[in-house]
Amino acid sequence: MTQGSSGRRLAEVLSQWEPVIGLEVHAQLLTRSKMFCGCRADYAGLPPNSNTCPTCLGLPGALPVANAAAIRMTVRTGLALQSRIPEHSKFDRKNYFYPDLPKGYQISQYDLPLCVGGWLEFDVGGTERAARITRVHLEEDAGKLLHAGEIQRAGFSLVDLNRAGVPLMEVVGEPDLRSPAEARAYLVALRQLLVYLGVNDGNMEEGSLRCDANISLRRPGEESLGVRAEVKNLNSFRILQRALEHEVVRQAALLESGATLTPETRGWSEAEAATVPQRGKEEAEDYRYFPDPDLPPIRCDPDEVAAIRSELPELPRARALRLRQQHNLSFDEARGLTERPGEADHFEQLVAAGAPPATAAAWQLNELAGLCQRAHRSIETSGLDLGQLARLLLLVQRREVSAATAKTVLAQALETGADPVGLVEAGGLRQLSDEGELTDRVDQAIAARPQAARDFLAGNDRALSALVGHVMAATRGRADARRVDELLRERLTREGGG
Amino acid sequence: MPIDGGTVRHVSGLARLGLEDAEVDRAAEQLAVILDAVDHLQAADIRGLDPTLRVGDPGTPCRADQVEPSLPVERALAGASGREANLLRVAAIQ
Amino acid sequence: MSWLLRSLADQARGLRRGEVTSARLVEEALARIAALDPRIGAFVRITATQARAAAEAADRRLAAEGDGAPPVCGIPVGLKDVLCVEGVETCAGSRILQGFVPPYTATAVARLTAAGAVAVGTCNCDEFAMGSSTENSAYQITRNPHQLGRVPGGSSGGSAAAVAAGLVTASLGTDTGGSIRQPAALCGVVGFKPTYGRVSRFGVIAFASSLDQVGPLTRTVEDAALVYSTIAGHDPLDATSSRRPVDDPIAELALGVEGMRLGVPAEYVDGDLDPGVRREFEAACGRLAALGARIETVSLPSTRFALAAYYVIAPAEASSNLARMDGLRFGPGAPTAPSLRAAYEQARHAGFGPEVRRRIMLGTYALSSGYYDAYYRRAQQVRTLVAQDFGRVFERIDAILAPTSPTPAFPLGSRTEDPLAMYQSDVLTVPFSLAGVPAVSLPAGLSEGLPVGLQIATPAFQDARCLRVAAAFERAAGVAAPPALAREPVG
Repeated sequence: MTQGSSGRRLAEVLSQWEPVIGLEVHAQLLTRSKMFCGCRADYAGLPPNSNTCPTCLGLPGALPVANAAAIRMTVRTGLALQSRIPEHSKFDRKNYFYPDLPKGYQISQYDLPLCVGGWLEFDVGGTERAARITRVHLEEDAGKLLHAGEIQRAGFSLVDLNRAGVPLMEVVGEPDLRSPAEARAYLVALRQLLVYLGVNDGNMEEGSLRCDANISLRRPGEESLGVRAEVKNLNSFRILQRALEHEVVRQAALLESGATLTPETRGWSEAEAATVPQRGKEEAEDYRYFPDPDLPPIRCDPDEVAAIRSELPELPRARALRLRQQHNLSFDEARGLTERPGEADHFEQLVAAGAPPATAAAWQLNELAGLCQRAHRSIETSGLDLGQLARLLLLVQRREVSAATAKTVLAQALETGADPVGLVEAGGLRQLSDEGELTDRVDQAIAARPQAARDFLAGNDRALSALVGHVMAATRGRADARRVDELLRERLTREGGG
Repeated sequence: MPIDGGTVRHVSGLARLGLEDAEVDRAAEQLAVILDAVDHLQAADIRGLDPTLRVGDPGTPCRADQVEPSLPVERALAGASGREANLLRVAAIQ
Repeated sequence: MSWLLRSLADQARGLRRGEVTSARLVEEALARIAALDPRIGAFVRITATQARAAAEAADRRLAAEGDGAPPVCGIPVGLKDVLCVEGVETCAGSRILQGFVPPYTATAVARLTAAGAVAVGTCNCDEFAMGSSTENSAYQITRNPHQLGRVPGGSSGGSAAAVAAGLVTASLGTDTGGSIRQPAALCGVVGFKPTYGRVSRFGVIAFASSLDQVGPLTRTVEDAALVYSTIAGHDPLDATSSRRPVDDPIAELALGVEGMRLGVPAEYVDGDLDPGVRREFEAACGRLAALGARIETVSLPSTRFALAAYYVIAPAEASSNLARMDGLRFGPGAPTAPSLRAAYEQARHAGFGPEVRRRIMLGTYALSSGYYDAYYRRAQQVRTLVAQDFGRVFERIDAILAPTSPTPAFPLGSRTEDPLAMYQSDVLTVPFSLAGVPAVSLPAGLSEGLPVGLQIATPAFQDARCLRVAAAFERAAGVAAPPALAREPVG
């Protein structure tokens, strides 16, 4: 909805209305076991209902015991968000009936969450912003419901409880976000932070990171809040932004028509490219929260909290800033390299192994990223030897190996595990930089492609690339493409003018 | 504390007790009697007192993050009222 | 006299001296159950095959280990129907759990059987342990072996009646607001509720999690101590289970009460007490004074709020604990219901009896929006008040004495239509439950032929002291005689 008439309508609405948006983000924690029992937290690929035990099945008499690692991960997240970690916290029961909730209640945290307050910094359109965090608390995930077709029309539902009881951390944000784009940037930054902290895998597609949004509109300058809609299950950055954009336009239209909004729960329909009302519950929600008597209150010992704080890794924004300053990188490069902690580690290891930082940054972000993607590997698992890669990038920087050659040998190295510099030497692929030979090759190309030469002289600058391509092909990529470009221009303009 | 049929229906609904109409009035009467007795609580001077959150030992007993064996599917679903392959089958959610 | 009418300690000695075998004890138990239980209704299920196999194993162990074998080895026991046993149907006296066969065993049971005790069957109880007469079981009522027209008390009425009638040597019950102590009092046996957190609740079908505690019902105080020390101790599967080491109660049993300060709460004896109960209680106090204890009147002023707090807290927790009984994963369910909502409602309407429904409604109401502060939160504040009362009294008193029940066993059916009258049965046991302190009930005489219980409570984790005071009284008063029915010759 960023183009065409709908885009214009959005821009018009945004000029007259101020969206007030807050996100609630649920993140499955990367523990080994579930929140309150010893079943696996990673249930991917397991046959249905094979990852359950009396506790997560909610069998009579089975009891929960809290996973210490999940509590630590939540505190770690809170500390990274500058939250306060109160000494006293507890688990509460949220009571409601649903087949994916075996006990008839979800163990969650109501009035004493593990982390209170804090803020998240993020960039939107090149500007630094911060949004306040309300709280971070810990709860258990529900099982999965499967239906043939739509839930309302299905004759029955099927339940898989493998996911029931997986530790789920909820990061509740204050309604500090003022546009769908800001909401998206906030979620991008939060996801990145969680991955950096090693508490979540950031996988929105698989649902290990999930997002709900609250949104209302008001006139710019107004203090009070409008009637908000809760939009559930916005499980990709794209859907989050599209759904919020749709909601902005929808709510504005209603408000402008004089309608009175009522609080409601909506979801995103991909088919309709719109938010749609979710079926209301039969009774008003009354979750009857009360402290879970099976789980004694949690005491977060200040010394333990200090220890967790001291173990916090360098966070993405700090790391990007350091890389920029240390290696004189651009803002975009530093941000790109620090997107995931593994990538940033790879870059720093590459530089430590002797690669020139500027070349290493450009190559890791572009060529290497592309090659790895085609090989279905990540940068960290490319299998390339960092020392060999660093030597190759040094040759590239010194223009002793052409970019094209470097790409070719890297592709081979990725496939076979060979040393890319060894491939250069064995194939005699060092860059052709002898001016005499290069000039000969350039003259041969002009002779072979007279039409391209004429086109260039007639003002078609793009015709030159055909001639460069000819030289590169004739030299099997060994020629220094930049020098070839320069020589061609020199020869042609001299001839044309002479 | 008077308690009406509507409240009883609401509470029965929340708890999925499926009370029949004939049972609602009787339940309202009985609950009213019990709540009347329980209302005695309002006379207690509890100013400044925290609610009891636990009895027994202080401390936060947690488990180490270790995987333990799960139940085989056949045992997990042994008592299921409906099954489809390895899934629990339940009536339509509506 | 039947071996089953002797104490556990006597049986244990007999087993070690070769005077009897576990196989014979178990056969005797099975024969007595066959002969007497049709009139009592203490058992809902007999596990004869498993019991015979376990008895043989116990005899082999006794032969191999001799005096080194645990004291409960080879002893026939009964288990309340809320204690899960792997592979054995466990129903908590409810239709909603019909057919439920747990794939795990309650820690307390596992410890008892690991020590060689032989479970012969499941004892009847009020549905989900909610009741004071064992008339709320969906399966059967249990009668008091002293007078078959009277209730055995509840909710562990089956466990109490089984021991009283000598059908088993000991049994396990659970106590939430008096469910071990009150039936023990009404059936004339010893019933001990340990400190909250002392015995694991894992595998105990929950009534009210912050109050439930497993404990023994036996013929003597020493027997209670032997069973208690077998089942007590930290369990990593129960987060509310204490990590403190368990004091050895056996060593302290003989120490006596000389010089001890025993408190009688004025509020407990000022109220309505059956004259026989009052008489026997006063006599018991006199007996303890004669043993050298100082009896003092103390005040527990919040007692008058305790029952009300209990009847908010316990139903509130129960309303949530019983939400898992939805008929989907276990229990009869409602497989043909047209909708999920109907499936829940049909399963729960058909599955729960009237008292359980009543308490679920009460608890749901107390937690619901708008009432939480006035009921649940306030009740938990009152609980703090009650605990403070005990804290104050225990600063200068070693143990508290009280009658266990305001009346002896009442006639069957006499309180079923009057929930409040039934709830009053717990008035003297509930305060100790709220405070989480240990309390034991032991026989202290008869009122018109019906047993009267003396209740003794000590500070939290002073379980050994609690049993010590009880043992001193028992030595002076003698072990209560079994009811006439138990002395009938069997087959």
